[in-house]
Amino acid sequence: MKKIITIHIGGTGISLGERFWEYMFYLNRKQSESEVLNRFGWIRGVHYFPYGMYVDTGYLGTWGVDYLNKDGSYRQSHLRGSLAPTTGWDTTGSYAFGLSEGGILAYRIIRLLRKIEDNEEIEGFMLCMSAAGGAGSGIGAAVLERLKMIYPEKKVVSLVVYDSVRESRAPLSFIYNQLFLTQKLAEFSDATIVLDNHVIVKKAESAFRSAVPNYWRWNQILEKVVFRIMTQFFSEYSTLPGLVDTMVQKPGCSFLTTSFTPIIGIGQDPVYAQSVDGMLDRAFSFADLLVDIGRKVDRHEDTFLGVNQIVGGKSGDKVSTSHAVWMITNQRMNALNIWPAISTLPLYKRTGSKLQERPHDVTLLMNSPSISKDFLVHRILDPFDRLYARKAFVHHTKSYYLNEQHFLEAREKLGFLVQDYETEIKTVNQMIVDFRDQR
Amino acid sequence: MRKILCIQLGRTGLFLGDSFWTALRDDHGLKHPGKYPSFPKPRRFGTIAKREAYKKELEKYRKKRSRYLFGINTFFDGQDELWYTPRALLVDTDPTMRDNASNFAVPPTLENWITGNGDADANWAKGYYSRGPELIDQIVAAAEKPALENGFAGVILFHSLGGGTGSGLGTLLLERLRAGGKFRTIATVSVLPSTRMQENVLEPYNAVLGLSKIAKLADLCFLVDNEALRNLAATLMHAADPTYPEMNMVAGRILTDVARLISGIGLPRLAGYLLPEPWMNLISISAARFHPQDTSLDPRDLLQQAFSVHNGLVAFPSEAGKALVRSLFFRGSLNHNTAMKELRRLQDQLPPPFPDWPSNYMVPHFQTLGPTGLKNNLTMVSNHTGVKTALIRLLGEFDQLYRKRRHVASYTSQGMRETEFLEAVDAIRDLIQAYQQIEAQQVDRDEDEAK
Repeated sequence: MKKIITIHIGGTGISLGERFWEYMFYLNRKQSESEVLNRFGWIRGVHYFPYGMYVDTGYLGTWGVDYLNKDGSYRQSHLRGSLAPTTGWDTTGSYAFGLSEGGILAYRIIRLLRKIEDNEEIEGFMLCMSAAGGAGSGIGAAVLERLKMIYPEKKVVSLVVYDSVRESRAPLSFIYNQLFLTQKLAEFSDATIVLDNHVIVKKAESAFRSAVPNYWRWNQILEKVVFRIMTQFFSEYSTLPGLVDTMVQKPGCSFLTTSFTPIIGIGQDPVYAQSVDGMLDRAFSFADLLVDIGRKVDRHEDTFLGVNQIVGGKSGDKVSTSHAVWMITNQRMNALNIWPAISTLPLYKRTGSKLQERPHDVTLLMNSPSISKDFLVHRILDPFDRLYARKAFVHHTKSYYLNEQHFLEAREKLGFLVQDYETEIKTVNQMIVDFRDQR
Repeated sequence: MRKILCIQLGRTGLFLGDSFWTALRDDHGLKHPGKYPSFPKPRRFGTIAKREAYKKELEKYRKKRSRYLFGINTFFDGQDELWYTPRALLVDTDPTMRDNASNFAVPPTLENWITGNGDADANWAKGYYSRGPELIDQIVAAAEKPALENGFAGVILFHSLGGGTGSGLGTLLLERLRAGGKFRTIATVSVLPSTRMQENVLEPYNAVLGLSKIAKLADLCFLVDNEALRNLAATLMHAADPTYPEMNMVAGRILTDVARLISGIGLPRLAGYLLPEPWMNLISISAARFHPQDTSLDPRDLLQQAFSVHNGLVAFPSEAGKALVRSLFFRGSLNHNTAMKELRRLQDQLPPPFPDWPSNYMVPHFQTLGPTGLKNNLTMVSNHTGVKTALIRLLGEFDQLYRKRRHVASYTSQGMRETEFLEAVDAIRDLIQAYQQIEAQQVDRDEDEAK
């Protein structure tokens, strides 16, 4: 069977990765023959060794390679040596530093990959990182570039957490970090799943009834989305190239957005969360969209290339299919296609979590050029232009190898990407009209 | 992996550093020679219930210990859980200072003490041109030795700007450390002299000469203004005329909280937070009052106190200039939710430094372990244009002396050119002007918007 290699980069990537593997082992306990796990790990004796790699530059406090080596809960189950890549330095939120350290780390990753390559076939790569930190952005960019250089035919899907300008505790130069990483993602990543802390913080505030910035809580929301997406698309029924081919039409315009319903705390019981239909309505009103674009999303006004609608929980298959068919045939949405999907796997019940567990949930993964375009403009280009006009914090991101020319280059390339998105919106709209005429 | 070396330079550096180490050692729960108290092991257990109780107690002890020793490798060298010694280098040109060493928190060894043969006589030129060069190779070699270790983050220099060794040799040392390029971040804790408690007349000369160069050489420069510190100590200690040990104690306590912040996020990262541009490296620290009587304060009171004029290590009203970046470090048991809400309320009230500035320029950090003897506290490290008030005062004192060229001969006799005075003054003036320009920017932009 073909394998997917997941690479978790930086503090955010590792903390999400640790949760993801925790969930995988939980699934393995629940279902003795888990197809999902076969895809991510191989069996040796009675143990599963996941194809997971943790990459970081150094000590990062609670989460990080040091933590995993010392007392990470699934340390025993990881491939020996796959935990290792680290250089012992802190990137301190600097993209330039992460990029320069990323070269040697990428080399070590590829050396590990060669070992796996001898025995098994690699289907693709899954990168998991944050765009704000120095490790996430810098090493992420370096690894992406080198992976594509050595394995040009393999697909790379990245799962990127963007930080909120309001809540970020990274140095303010993170605005430059995310500009650079976004540019590299557009160039090298085949599909990028965007998760936005700005929304997740707000959801956490209402669900947990607390304004405290707490990664532990934010991750509880993030992990649910990640579980659903990962388990759906990497089950035996779908492939990673399949995901890329169905979701992405034009290379570069590959930023996918997500939505997850319901995110509610204990004691909260809104009406929509009482039935699957209600949750589907809520999901398609985009109140739970996990990306902030500075405006409301309207399903008739915006353009959707494809929507993957995952109904989680048992016996969701009929509802899912009928809803998707109904949406398309009655032209309830300006979308080219809606793929119904189900995920019967249970979500991980974290002990002590104040997030409510529901028997059903709805996850959307979509490629909407109009949302992605506004995300780029509103969240990445606007803050960059404002901060770069003052040249504030530039010295923290700059280095000998990364001068102001690179800033302007990255900005220019993303400007072209926005133009690409504008033409993409027109073509997709035309495709939708043609499709409706055919019917 | 964010180790830091502290270099204590000159008499002020030694004594301030000593009170800093004493406070930091208490903060980490270490007993005098640097050992965390171990858990007594009973010889035999009478019953199973007793053994279980012992195990529970031991678990509790281990948790507490890990909280106390979190990030201890930043400032201390040590065997795991056995013995921690401050990673410090103590330097003075005056050999008699070594006699005080037996009282110091840093145990004196051959490696961590470097003393010269003669005093620098509170003369910048002596420290920089005549006495300093005798010692400098030895100091640089000793400082760069630990820098080869993996994950070494930087160096913090404790010194005063008024003295000869602290200011003159400090400048020379910073120049050499910069040129060596072994350290990622070079920070200083610089004590600004004040005319109100002047020890010698040359202090303004030394401070201007030193600060003009140090502001260009260091990455971060934490300012401790003696005048503000004196007022702070006077109120805290109920003493009309606080002594130097009392003042050092106050400064040491505040610097300990900053050190805890540094061991939490790392010195280079803190520099990344605080510096919008590399030249704006003068950092002001303020803390909520830590008088033993009000041990427990609401987040609202803490914020109010930290923003007050009287509680800063450099005194200026918070409204006077612009705070470009602020790092707020809440320690101890307090309601984080209320603290965040109060902070956001404050953020909405205060105008941002510029209309288009990122809205997270006030960054909160939390640590559940409180400072010793207190329930909670707040320390604020900010990059504020108000530090220029201290510079203006310093320049005024300098001008009073230099108008009649007093004591200039004692500098030129050490081989210093007289133009260096003018260069230094120009550098400080440029700095003040640059700060004033930043303050003026808001007005221009508002006018543009009005048009």
